[in-house]
Amino acid sequence: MPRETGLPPGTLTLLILRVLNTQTLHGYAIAQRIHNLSNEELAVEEGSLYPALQKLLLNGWVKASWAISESGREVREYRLTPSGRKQLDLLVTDYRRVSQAIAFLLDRA
Amino acid sequence: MLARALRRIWYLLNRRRMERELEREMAAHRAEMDDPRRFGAPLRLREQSADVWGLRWLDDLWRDLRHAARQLRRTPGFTLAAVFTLAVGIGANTTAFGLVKTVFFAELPVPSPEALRQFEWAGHRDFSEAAFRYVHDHVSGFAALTCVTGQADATLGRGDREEPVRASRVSGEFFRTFGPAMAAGRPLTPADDRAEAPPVSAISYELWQRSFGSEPSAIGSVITIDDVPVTIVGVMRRGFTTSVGRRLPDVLLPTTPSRAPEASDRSARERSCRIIGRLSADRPEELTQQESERLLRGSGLTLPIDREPQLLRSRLRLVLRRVGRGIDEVPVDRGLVRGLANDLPQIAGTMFLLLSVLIVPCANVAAMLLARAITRRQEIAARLALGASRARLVRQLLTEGAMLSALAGVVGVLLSWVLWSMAFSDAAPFALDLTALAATAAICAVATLSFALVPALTATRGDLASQIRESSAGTPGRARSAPGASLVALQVVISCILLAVALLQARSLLRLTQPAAVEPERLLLVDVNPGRDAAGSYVDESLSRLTRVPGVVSVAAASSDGLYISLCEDAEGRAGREIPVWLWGISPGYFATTRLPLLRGREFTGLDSGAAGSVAIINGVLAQSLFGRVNPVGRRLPLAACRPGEPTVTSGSLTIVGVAVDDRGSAAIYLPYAQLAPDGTMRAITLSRITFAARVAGNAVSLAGPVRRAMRESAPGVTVGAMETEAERKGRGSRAVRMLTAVYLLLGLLATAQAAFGLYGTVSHFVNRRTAEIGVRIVLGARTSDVVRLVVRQALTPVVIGLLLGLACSPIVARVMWAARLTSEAGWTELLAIAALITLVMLSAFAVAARPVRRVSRLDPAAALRYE
Repeated sequence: MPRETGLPPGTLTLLILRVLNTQTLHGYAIAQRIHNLSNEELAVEEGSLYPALQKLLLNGWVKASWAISESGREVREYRLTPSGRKQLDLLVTDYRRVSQAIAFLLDRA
Repeated sequence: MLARALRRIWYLLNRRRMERELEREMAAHRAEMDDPRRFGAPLRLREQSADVWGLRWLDDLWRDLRHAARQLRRTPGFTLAAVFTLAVGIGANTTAFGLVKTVFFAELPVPSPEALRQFEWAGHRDFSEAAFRYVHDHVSGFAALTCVTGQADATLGRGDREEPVRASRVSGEFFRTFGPAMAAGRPLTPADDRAEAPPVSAISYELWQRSFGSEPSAIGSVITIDDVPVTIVGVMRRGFTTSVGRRLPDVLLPTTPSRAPEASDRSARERSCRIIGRLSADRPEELTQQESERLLRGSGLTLPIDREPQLLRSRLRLVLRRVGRGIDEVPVDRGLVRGLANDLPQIAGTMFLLLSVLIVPCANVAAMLLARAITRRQEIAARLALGASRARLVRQLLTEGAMLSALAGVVGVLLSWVLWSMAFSDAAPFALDLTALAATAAICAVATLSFALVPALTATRGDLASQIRESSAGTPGRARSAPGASLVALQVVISCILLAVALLQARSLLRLTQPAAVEPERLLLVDVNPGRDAAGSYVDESLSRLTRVPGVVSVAAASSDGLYISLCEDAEGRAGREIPVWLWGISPGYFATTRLPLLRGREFTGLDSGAAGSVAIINGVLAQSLFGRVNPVGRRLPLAACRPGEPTVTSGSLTIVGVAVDDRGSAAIYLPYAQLAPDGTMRAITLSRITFAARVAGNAVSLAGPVRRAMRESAPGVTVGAMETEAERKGRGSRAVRMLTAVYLLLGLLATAQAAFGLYGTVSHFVNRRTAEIGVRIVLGARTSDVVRLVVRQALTPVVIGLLLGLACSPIVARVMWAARLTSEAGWTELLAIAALITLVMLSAFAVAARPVRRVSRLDPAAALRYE
């Protein structure tokens, strides 16, 4: 299952925070959304998703609450906290800077 | 960071719920998926997710603790033995330390009490105020110097109310010497200690509470002390005192002015005070001592002024004695038979030596753990084979060790408390010495932990298969070498040494406290103060009257206080090294009455009076340092100049007529009373107080009346003090010392008991280990005697080796301790006693160890073969 190899380490946090920035989502929806938004290029395995979500909870970047999903199931939805939003900005800036530098280097070298 | 920690704690508290939520969440996730099988193992996923919270170690710890508890419960015998062994060690040590700390090392609650010194001039602590002022004005080695009079009863008047109080007078620098001490108001200052200053006083916190209701207005109010008005200028803080364990007087007044009230019972006497100074930091103490000694010698103002002939003054010694610790306040040796015990501080120092007592329980538990390690090797190997990681195993075993020491710590503290309340509660309230507890517990923990690791270390050595296979079915394999043959031997050696140390210590202490006089309870003592002029004839008169009292066997008199002087000549009368020596005046019959043995020569008789040649008796210590092995009887004890330019005394040379036993280790010279008087040369040591001693045949108490009457009749005007026996007098001063002796003996016995216990454990373990093998031997035709011999030989050999080594070591230990001035010299009798005791104790240990051996001899071979 080499679907995840495209994810550089640490990027998963960024992706989760990013998709949660616009709306609250439950675990399955997060995975789906990342999959869809990436033109089905990226897939998040459950084995990584849940530890990552727990880490976000631990850091206080997201909050979880129970809700009823569109399909009528009880699901746990994650919502970004203000400190999570700050963290997202930070991560985005960092990521842009690094990826630009890498792209630059790949073009020139 | 803090927020994270808080969230973690919150998670921990709501853990159950959080985990259930995660489970539900994942279930929902699976339900949403097209192919739930792709979700992976939910349990593993849940664990991985929960691990993010970093609380796994807690789970592991909890599991380890439960496992450890199960293990310890499974072998209750082992657990009880190990915990108790360690607990006894911890308890005894903690008690001993607490005791020593509260009794001896308690410090005055003042800044740097170690810099405080009290003057002791020729063995006396009382000085005239004139002498103090002289020293104070001329000495430069003290940051502050004060003089404090004894406490006296006084009457405090306030309005029309009166109440009795205790009052002391202090000179101007009192508060500079002892440091800041005020709760309110200001301290007494040098300015208050002048004749033209208005009369003021400082009062104690207790008096302020008791009589002034803690009113701030007390400061500045005027009270009367013995009808003289004084103004209160300050209140001392609660707990402030100038000697450990004693309360400060209620009222402090300046020493000087004639206008200040005279404390009532002092007025008759010559007022004297004690001089206490705070050494300045930038001057060596030696220089200060020499400077002060020179000043006092030159002043001509020291208290026994008119009884202090020129000759002696140049020899009187000034000692700057440390004050400010509990040990400085321990009264030593106030009986008739004296020689001062100057070695108490060193004895207290050896307490630390006895921390080593703890080595024995540690060694015992180590041996137990080692023995267990062997039996557990299979279990550990099996667990390793099943995939347990080595680190995890080590953690688990460490937890077990930690649990053992923790249990032992708790039981140890309980034991300490029980011991204290049983034996020492009247000496000092129970004080758990936390430092000592921590130290002992740490040592125990380190020992337990390191030995708890052994199973893990041995089990992971070598291949697993052979270890699992290594059952007890007749092939003991490597485990055959007893776990710590050398450990057992070492333990026995340590126990022997500890026992020797404890015995030597206890004996030295006992010698300090035990009256040297034989049957001290039959020696009736009374102090009198006949006044200087009457002394000579008074002694003769009183003695002859006392002799006639029915029931009195013999009588003697001695100066109540000795003089501490320097002797600076060698046997030939040449100037040699200075020897500090106590000088005592005694009457004929002193040795007969005290029954203190004379090593050589004779005691004084009625013929050794003024007209005859001057004679002296010296004690063994002085004989040894002056004459070595030569018999000093008949030789001269010349008195040469101590320093160049000082006068020599030609007529003062003394003939030695006897050598007294040295009971305390300090040199002493006894001079006959009758020769002290005539020309006044040695009058100094008569001073004023004389102790009369009467040895009685029957009950001392019933004779107290007649003896007192006889004393009164011989000189009606003289005050006769309280009657006491020598035993009573000694017992009073030496409580603390006796207590310490008890502690020593206790620790020594403990070490021995522990060693014997360890021995039993070793033999019993040995037998257990080899039961199967022994069964095989019996089946193959070994006789009982062969088997017993085998066990005895292999199990007891290390013990015997240890015992022999220990016996060989004890004289060395005695020698070392003597050389370090920790104990007095041990003679053959002591060494033999130690050897006998060690052997006896070990023999009883053998007797205990015989039990498992007997079990071997009754072994049923069939059962033994199956023995696991």
